[in-house]
Amino acid sequence: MGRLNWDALPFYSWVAFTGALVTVGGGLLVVALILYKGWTRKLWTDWLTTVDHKKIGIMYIVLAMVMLLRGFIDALMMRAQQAIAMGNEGYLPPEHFDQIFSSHGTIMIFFMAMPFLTGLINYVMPLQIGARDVAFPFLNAVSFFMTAAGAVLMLLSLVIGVFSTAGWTGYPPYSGAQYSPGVGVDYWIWSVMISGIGTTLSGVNFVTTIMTQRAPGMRLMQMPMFVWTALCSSILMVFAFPALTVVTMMLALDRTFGFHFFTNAAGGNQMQYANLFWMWGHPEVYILILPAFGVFSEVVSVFSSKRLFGYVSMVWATMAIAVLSFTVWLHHFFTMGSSANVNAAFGIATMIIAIPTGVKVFDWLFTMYRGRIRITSPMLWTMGFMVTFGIGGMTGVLLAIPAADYVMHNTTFLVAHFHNMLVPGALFGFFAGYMYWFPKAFGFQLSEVWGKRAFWFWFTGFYCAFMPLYALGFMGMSRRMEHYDVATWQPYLIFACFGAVLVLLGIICLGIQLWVSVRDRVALADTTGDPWDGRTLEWATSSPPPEYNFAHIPDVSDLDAFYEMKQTARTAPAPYEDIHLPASSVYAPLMGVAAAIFGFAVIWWIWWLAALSLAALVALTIARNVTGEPHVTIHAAEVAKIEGART
Amino acid sequence: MRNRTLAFAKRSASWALGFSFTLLSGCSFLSSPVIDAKGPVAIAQRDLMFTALGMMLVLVIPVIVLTIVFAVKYRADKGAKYTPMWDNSHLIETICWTVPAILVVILGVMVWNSTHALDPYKPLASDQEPLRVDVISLDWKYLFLYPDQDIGAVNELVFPVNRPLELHMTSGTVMTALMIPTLGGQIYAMGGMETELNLMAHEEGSFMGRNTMFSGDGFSAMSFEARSVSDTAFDAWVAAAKSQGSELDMARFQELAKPTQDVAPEVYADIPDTLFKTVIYNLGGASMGMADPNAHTNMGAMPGDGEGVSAQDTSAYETDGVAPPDAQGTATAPATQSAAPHSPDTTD
Amino acid sequence: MSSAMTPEAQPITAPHTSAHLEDRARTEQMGYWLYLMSDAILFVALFATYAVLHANSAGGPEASDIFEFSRTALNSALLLTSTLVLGFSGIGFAKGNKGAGFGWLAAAFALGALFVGLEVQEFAALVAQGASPQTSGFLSAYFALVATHGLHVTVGLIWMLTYVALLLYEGPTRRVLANGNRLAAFWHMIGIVWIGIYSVVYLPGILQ
Repeated sequence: MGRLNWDALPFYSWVAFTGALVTVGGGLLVVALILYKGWTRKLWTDWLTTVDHKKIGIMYIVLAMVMLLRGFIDALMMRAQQAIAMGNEGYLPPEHFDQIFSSHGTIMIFFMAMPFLTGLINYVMPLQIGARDVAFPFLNAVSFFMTAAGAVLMLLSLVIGVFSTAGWTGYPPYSGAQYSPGVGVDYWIWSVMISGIGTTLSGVNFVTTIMTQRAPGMRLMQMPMFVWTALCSSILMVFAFPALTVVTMMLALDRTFGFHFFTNAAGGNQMQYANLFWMWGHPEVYILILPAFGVFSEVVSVFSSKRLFGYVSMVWATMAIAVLSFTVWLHHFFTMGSSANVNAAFGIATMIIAIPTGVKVFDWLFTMYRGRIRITSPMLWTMGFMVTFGIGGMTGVLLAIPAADYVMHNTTFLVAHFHNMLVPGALFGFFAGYMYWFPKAFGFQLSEVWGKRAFWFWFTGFYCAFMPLYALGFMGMSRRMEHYDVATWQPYLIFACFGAVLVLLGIICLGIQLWVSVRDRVALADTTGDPWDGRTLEWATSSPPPEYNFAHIPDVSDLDAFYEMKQTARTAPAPYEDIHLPASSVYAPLMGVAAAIFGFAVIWWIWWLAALSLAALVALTIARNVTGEPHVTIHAAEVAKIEGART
Repeated sequence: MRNRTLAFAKRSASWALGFSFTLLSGCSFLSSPVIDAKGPVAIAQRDLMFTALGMMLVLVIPVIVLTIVFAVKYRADKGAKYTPMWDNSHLIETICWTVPAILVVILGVMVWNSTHALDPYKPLASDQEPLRVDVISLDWKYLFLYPDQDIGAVNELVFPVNRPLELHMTSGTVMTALMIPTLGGQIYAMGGMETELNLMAHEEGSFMGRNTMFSGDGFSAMSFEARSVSDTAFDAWVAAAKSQGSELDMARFQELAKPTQDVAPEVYADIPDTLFKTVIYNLGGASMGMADPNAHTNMGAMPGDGEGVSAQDTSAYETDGVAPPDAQGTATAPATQSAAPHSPDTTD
Repeated sequence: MSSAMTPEAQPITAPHTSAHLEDRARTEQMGYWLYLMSDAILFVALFATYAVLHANSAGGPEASDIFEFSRTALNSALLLTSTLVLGFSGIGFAKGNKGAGFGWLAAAFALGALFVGLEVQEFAALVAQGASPQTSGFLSAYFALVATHGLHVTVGLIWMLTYVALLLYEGPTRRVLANGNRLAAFWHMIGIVWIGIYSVVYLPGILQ
């Protein structure tokens, strides 16, 4: 069994043991619920084997929500530790605290934000371009199960063995075998790599979908803004993720087989890791943020009841951001001793990104100008973002000045900065999208009251948690400190912990919102398919949409395609035709299982199992390739029946 | 319901703001190392930051204010002017692109100048010769070597006020970053490589210095005291170290290199001339880290006179991924191979 | 536009009209090329790492010590010829000449397999003479780059076998021939990467 034995169970600390118990207990509870309710069959046939982009999108978002919870508990534990660990060890030993900040970052980036945005794109983008599905529905399912396999490994590290202590960036030589023996970093490597391969495939799929599956008449410059941002984000996925695959693979070779890519010894070069990692890492920031920008664009326009201001500018700004994101990676390590010329060039390149980003903010602002603004929960998240994002942008420009970065790098100021970008810039956008498109997906709206409460807790909680960290950066506090002995830091850290508690209340509100809305789903039902007075195609079909999305593929001639449809008289519906859809497939979940087992086996050096699961993966791929893509047909009569039932 | 939510939000927001202002106006922030800087580098870095901040506020404050103003003024129930089809204005678009662009041009010039002026490798202007200190970061403490004084110190960096301090850094372990926030910014220290940081203190005093780059279990406590003292006090400290300190031989160094936490400051009267270069050159498999405490055998054999091991050229690398020419410390090659090392002039 | 709905619905996956099949082929082509570009970037990262680490021989063997001209020239000839004859195979199938199609395909497979065999032998010889990937950063980078390429060749070989299976069971349908076209594109990319390896890794090493 390789290096796997009973010592892998987390008896080393009661906190870790509790975490493991909660994870296992939660898993068992879910399984028990499924068995008790007799959902097994439904789960397998309707969900796990599906290739429907809508269901896959929902599964992505469910995964993201679960991982958000786990990642947030990590955050809360860190804030609590730092609030009390003044001049004492706190309640977490270093080896445990270090795992927590590593897993927090890894989860939030790879298993919360990535699935969330991939889920939103999956659900919404095909509807917005008037397509029946993505270009490669089966590949889409494979992508999802690769991400899920990575998430499973991530959660497994809590129960069997330990997680990495090297942070979410995993810098060598610390993450090398010499300084981090054991399985921790290997869990990080393989969960990130496997899910990263899934993301690369998603990127390929989305770009192809947007380029080839648009409804007739929809020119590129008539695509909704969310589709544009999805396109740019997906292009970044295709081109940036290979760098991550390579760099994690090299680290794995260093660790497992004694290669010398990044070791101190034998001609390794640790700086090459930083270069490769951030060549992926910086575009990744925009992969996360751009789709959220797309959501904000949709929300601002719909809830201001107005056309999006400066659409052409927005498109160019989005593309500019995507291209520029590849030119700035070095700003993550100005302090590595590059020459002044190199540092200055990358600093200026970084600032240039602020121009298109600023343009976007102004365009949202002028979309609100002379509108009829409805302050709904999606709109609140958007305005909260607009107010907060400027602060993050400002501190970002500060960090882009190399001479200032020398003082602020690696401090809590940096931590505050990137949370200031990613919490409002990405997460608020995802929440806005979640509340905005929820009625489309499930046919009833989410409770506005609880949505707004969740927003206010998140919003105030964010400020309380991160403004003190900015100040602490000036006071010289490094990131990732398990304890400290500077008494003046403690009030700030206690306050930051209070902020985290507010965010916790925000998360509880989100849970209550879901509960209350499901309970009141009849009262909150959306029978029109268009609860917000929407402007884009997804609102033209019913809520939830039929499996085939549109009985007739719409013909598009304007940016706000559905708004335009509503302004003009509907012509008599044409006769329905048979609709062909890809059939569900057992291959994707099986491939996910094989990938997860492969990752586990490699982490624990169980080589026979690794060989077996890899062979299974190859065999499944070949089998699928040979059998081709089976279809199901929905007959015209059935389509007529489904469409007739729509009021 | 809605009113209650809003009321709660307002209450918690005002409480939060009140509390944070109390904190911010407290002296702990104003006397923080970065704000209350004590050296030319730190002061320049701080001023640069606040100048840039001020310039950006010109753009950011209007955005925040306008967001709130528009949200209030154009609420659906207010009945303000409504232009649903208005989606373009060349004037506004031009302003949207040019104003940030102008700001970035100004900031860009600032970046170019300040990055060159505050290059950590650049010697500081002074009528005094800089004091050279070689820094070796270990798990989890700092070893400071004073080659000109032939003394060493652990977790204590003493230097004369108003005299440039020229730190040459390497790591005997993982990547670390040395920062004394009161005096100015940080640079990474990396195994097998040498980096440089020039600082100076205007005032006498004791400042916190620490590793800011996470380096393992003992990271949190990996800090040291940086003391700027008068010339006479510095001479006295050197003299005291020479008379009271013990000798730092290789055996002692290897003992020191083992992972330990909260190491009390200690001085050494005598240090091996080539210790710093040896660590850079030999870091290879003969690591001083935690993995194999027995693997120190080739630490004793030192490259003769550091021939071919150029300290200067290691520091001149650019981060375009090219390793410094002599960064190939070797595990397998014994130190005697240093007779024919890569010449520093052989660029890759 | 006044008419929001048009009768010409275009189902994306209906296996009916030839116009639709062409659409589908275009879609698959595009997705496949995107994948190839992504794969190419993977190699770019490996090349970049080799460029950075190539001089870090750490006292072990250097490039000039281990690369032989005859061996690499033979390898290049094998792989590039394989690419060429796979093209002949495609022409054969397109012209309906099954014999030529299968014959050239077998030749392409044999040449590719020989390439992999020689490469494995080369690696074994290197390890035997103390030039293993564990020796130095240079050799780590070398093995990673060349073995990743070799792995791609191996995948291509497995793909050829499945392609033959498809041809035998399904015959040269459009779907199967499209599969063959993708295989050819893959094989071409591998050839191009090999030219890169030859000029970045082997040639400078030999000329040193």
